[in-house]
Amino acid sequence: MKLGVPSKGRLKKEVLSWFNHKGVEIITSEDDRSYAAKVTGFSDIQLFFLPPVEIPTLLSKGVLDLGVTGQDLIEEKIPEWDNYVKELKKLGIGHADLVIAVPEFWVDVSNLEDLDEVAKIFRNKIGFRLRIATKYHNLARKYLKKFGMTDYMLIDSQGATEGLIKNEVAEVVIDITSTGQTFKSNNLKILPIDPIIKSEVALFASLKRKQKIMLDQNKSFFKKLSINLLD
Amino acid sequence: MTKLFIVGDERVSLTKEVERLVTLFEKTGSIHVEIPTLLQSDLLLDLYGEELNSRTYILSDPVKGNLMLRPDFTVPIVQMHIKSNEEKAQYCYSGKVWRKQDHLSSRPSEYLQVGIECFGGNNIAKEDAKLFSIINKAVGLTHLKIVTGDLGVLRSAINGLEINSRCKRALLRQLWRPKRFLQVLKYFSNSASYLNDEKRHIIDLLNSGKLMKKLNIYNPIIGLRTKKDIIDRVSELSNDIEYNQLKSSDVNLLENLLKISCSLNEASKNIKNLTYSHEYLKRSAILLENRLDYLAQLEIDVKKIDFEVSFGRTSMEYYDGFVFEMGPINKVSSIPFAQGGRYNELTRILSDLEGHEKSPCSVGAIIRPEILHAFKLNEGILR
Repeated sequence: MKLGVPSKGRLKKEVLSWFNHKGVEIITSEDDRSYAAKVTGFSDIQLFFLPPVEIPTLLSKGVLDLGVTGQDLIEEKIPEWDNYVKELKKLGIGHADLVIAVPEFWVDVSNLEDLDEVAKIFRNKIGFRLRIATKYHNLARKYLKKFGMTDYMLIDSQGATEGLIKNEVAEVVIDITSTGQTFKSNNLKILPIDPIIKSEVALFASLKRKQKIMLDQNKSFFKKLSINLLD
Repeated sequence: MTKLFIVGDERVSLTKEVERLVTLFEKTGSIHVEIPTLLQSDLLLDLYGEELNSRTYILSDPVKGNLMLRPDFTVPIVQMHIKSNEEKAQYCYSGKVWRKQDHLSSRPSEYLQVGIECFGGNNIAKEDAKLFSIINKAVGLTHLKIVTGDLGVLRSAINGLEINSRCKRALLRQLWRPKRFLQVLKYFSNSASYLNDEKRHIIDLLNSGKLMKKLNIYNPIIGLRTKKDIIDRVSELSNDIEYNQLKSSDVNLLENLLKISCSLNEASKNIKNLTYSHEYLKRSAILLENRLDYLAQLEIDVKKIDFEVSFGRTSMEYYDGFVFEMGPINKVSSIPFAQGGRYNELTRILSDLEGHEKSPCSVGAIIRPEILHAFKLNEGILR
């Protein structure tokens, strides 16, 4: 069975410690930069350290059988995700909301209706569509389409998205946040509406593998994590 | 569902069907044009907007920039026509278009279109009827489900209301999004009830001359939107709550119009019945009558054609007048054989970009030969 877990930073540490608490000990190499690791007592489980953003697609294709990543990335990367992967267990970490942020001084903008109207006025005045910077293209587009937003365009941003407004390459940002501090530090405010999605980190299973076979071959592993695979 | 592979006799027969359609279009005076498969994407992306962009295939070229796999023929043909400096012309084409599908569905992502685009000709009703009759003949089936609409009806209704231009623009902008249209309708019927405490506070600041002072607290001011833009918009909001733009009779008129669904020969009567005093709507009704007369002259059985005021509102935004769709009877959810409509506004926008002051009236339609051909095979009309 192939298991993918986040490869770097605080998230990696938190995920490993979650497994340890459950009695599934993951021994990493002494060398912190090495991606080699073993799962004590489960020689059949192959562990892969991967960037969380790559885990959803590997799950949907069945390259990984199990993977730990954020709900936000699962929904962004896999269209109609619930046909391909199943959430097994929330880890209680990595809580974050996908939100819309605009410059703090836009005191007249507090909901999508405002944003839609501002987009129209902006386009008429400036000559191009209101630019919304995000790396969550699919989630953003689906959400805005459902509302019926027009006169905007999505700008791709893979990082430091909050700074793009100051650089005048975007007017609005759609990004993930847990405390909102990065927005505040960049003179942005979050629109006071429900987030596009509320995300947290969870263990997902690929539906490419027959769940019954996976369970039969790894009973004690799933028991330790108190997961009933056939639910 | 259309097949991925079409082999042998079936291929020969589909090719013949496509040739039949093109020949028929040519005989009605169309110039046959070949349009590139790869189109420059910048203008198209700006024109279509994000809703449609998500459905186009973008290919990257390190030298030429992004190119788009042709999602339809209309825009490149309009551009070609504008550059030709001709007033009146009629073109036909055949080829594939590519569109991503939102869901895992049986709908194909690449398919054939054979179509026709007509420019110029100021008798709109006559041109609409002529195009409709060509497509009707080309489809060549006696039993068809035909639905028509006219986005001009709703536009006229809005333009004729005694409301300020801000309210008019807001309603016209949402013609193609029924849910948003209703939201805007509600907002302008009772604006005050839609503004929350925070907005009221901002409006109070404006009216007591303190809004600029409030905006000056924020530092730095970032992005292309300015403090003046914000003050301008807050004064619009302030005007909205002064008095309600839409009277309940206005709302009733629009709501009742949207409910109209009848046979095409009763459409004009039903619209006139809703109002005696609305000059703009009367003009729309007359246009419908004229179109009906021309259709009858072309021996179209107008009693069998449906008309809905709201038809075409959820399809592509560029249709702004007469719209129609032809499909099999009793198969509501299937892909139609043909659809088309008037798109004067799209041509106007593209003419503007070319610096032309005048823009020709435009109407066009497509046939999906694979769908039509599969139906004819299935029904034993073709072998």
